[in-house]
Amino acid sequence: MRKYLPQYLAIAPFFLLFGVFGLFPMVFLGYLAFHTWDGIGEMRFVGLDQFKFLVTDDIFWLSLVNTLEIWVMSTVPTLFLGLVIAYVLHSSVRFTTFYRIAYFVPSVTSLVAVAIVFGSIFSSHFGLLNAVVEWLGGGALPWLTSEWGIKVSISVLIVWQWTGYNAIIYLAGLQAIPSEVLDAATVDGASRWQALWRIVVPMMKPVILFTAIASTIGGLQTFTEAQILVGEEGGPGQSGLTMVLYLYQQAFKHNDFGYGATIGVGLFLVVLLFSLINWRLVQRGERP
Amino acid sequence: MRRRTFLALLGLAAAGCATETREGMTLWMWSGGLSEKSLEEATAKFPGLRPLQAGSQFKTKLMTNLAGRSHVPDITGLKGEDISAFFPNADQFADLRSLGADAFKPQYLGWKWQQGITAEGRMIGFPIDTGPTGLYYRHDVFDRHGVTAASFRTWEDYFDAGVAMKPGASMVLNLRMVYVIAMAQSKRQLVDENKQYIGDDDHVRRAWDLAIKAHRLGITAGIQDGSPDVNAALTTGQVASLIGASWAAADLKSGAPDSKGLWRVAPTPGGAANSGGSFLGITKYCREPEKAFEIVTWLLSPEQQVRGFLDLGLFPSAPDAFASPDLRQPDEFFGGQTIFDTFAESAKQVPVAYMSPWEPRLSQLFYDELTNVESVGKPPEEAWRDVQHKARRIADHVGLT
Amino acid sequence: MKRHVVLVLGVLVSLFPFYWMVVMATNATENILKFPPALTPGGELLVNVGKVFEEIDFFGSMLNTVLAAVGATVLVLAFDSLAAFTFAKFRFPGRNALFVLLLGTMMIPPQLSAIPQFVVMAQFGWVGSLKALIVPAVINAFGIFWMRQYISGAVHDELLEASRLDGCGFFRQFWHVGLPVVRPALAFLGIFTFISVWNDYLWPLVVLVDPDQVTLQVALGQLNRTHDTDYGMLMAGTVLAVIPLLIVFLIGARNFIADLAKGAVRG
Repeated sequence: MRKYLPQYLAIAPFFLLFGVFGLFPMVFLGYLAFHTWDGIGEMRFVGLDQFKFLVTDDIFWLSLVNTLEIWVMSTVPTLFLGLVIAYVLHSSVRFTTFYRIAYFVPSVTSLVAVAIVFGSIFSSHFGLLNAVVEWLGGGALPWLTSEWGIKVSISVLIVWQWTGYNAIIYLAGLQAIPSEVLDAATVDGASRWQALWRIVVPMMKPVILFTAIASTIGGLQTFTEAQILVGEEGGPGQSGLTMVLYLYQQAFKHNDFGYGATIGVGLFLVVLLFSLINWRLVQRGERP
Repeated sequence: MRRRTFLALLGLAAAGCATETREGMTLWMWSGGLSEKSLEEATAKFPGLRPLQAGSQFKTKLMTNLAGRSHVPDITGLKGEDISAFFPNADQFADLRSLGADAFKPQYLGWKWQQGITAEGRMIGFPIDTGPTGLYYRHDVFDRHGVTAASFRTWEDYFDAGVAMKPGASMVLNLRMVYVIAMAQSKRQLVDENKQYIGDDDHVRRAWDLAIKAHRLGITAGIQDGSPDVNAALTTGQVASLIGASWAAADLKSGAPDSKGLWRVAPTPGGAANSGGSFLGITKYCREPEKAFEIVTWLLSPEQQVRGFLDLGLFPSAPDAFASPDLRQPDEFFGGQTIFDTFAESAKQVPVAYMSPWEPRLSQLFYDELTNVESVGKPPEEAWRDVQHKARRIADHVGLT
Repeated sequence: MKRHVVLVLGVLVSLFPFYWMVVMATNATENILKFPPALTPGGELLVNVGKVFEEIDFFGSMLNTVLAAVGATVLVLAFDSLAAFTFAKFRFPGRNALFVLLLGTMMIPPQLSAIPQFVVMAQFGWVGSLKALIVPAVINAFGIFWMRQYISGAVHDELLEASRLDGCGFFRQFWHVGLPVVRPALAFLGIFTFISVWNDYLWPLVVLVDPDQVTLQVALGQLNRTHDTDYGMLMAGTVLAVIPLLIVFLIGARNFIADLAKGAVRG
């Protein structure tokens, strides 16, 4: 044990705080899921009742499907575009500072502003996007009033906001690849794109794994984007109702904190499952 | 952490909590809920009063502090749609009647006063403002189609006029609005005093059918509340009317400024109703409830309510304020009409209704299904069956009969 | 050239909503909400900014925010990079279990943990104190995960082994071998810790109870009314609140560039 003392010392400050501020909310959530609680009065133990209600709750399953659909539609383009932009930025020499700032701006733009702007862009009758669509000769599309329109709109918002963020992560990752490796590849006659897929991506596997897991966890907890575009109720057909939005609505709007926690446990299991799948997929083929 | 403390934390047992020393008198309100000037004057008049304003997520903050039983404000704003949800925990609030509220009762609208009182008779909310409804309509569009708002008595009159305007303009913004207002006109809601679910009774079916009828007649625009399309449709006159509370006038002015002078207000078809309006409550954590009550009654006196209307458009809950010449001003946005009088008349006629703690949650299901009918094209009968099924499940889940 | 065309298109898409913020910040609210809305910057910026300063204690709340964000960033950089280094490069009993536990915290939605977090803060007597914003920010599972991944790729085992043979202890290895190589990753972690504390709304709203102590986002939130919001003023405040972030980013981003020369040393 003595041998590992420095290691334990190194992680101790973190885990000490973690025990107090991180572990407790987890345990609390698990505990609460077995109780009914309106946030103020007494908690009442109800055993598995709320879990039974959960598995037969159509709205919960709907929110799960919505979340997964939005997650796929947003994460795949975000990560792909982020990687491409980072790669291009890494190799381009002029105006890099300007580009970096420009791609970074969406992740700090105020959500109130984003709500107003995207509302006007996606507005069905008078929105910017439909103006373009009609100008191109198409018919107006119901972006925020139809099932797929809502999901696409939310996904577009997520892609817009997080692509630059991921590009910056990849950019940091690219710094770890010695430039001679990239230079050598291009000298060998590999095209820029071949170099990206054959050399850069494999060397960045740890960073890519991070972004994959982080966007799985973040994406399955999509909340704010949906809330600002379609409101706390999830919009027509509740197509924008994500799991966290549903949980938040049950807990803070309807004061059903017990059931909110039960949804939270359901969400936890789903996130865990997909994180594991992701981990396996990205790790596959890597040297042991 | 010792095991006992941990368990205490888990169960959120009061042990160990609320040990902080309290200084002064805290008052929490959402932005725009009380006149700034009133609050400033109250702070000068009552030393120690410390108002805190939160913009959005007000209720989340309040609930978290109540749940954590720490730093709960002495006085807090309670929104009209939330107050009944606090009824099961009315013991968290001071009973305003035991502080002498009854002496003030004659000064306030009876139905509004009643909304702050639980079924057991404990008064936890003191009236701030109300939201009497009226029919906002585009005078120019009505004229063009030969429709007169003065002739509307019933919903049917209103719908007939909508049909006459087709296809030039839509009469109704969306189905939800029809349902919400029709329910607000009803004395009975979704759950009665005996904790019985009555959402499948005739009065609900009637409100539902009215909304569906508007849909069948094709007089709705299908534009959902809060979407930017609302402002555009109201500016262009594509939607010619809107049933809304007095506070909607401010939204109309800021959202459709170019239509200034073209709007008028008439009584709500089918009878007076209320939408919105809020309360002040005193929590049980307040150490000087008498002083808090004095502050509340001062802030919400008829004189201060005049200020609330002038500063923020908060419609008074004290009829004495209705006579104030400051409020009864002709409004240029409404072609010089004194719309205040129309709303004041409506405010006096709002029916007294029992609001159970579960109304917001159950109502949500009805709104969702109506939106499904409107936007996704769900057959109305299927939507009704679904809403009843879902409502029944929730009624069982929360222990209603 | 083609590359630049693509980049410029992306920039336009990225910047458009920000441009719109500026348009709103420089126009009167009537012109923002009317249909069709104003599309170009107007001349109302100073009026709007003046209203912001009148309504809220902008610089006071900015000072609170800077204190919280700097405090959290320093703690995160110190504790989290050390923990990440350990997770990435050393084997010790319980390593995997602890790491999985750590990832587990990421799977609890913050909306749900607000209540238990608040209860803990009340127990500590930290409600209403900036400590409540700074200390829990250290539990940054994303940060540790990020650093672990980066270190595992960028810090070479041979180098660590060599330094160990030279007689370097654990902490000196971290300081002399680990840290210099992971500068870009640290810069990223620092920037985004700073930003997330700066932009957080719900938690500071819940845990800060004194009007004099609120953070910038909470203060700006007060400008956001239920009805009748003055969007010109709100956006002017919002734009002002973003500028410090852009500066922080610029300073931090220097560490992404010009590091290429050092790559040779590493190989």
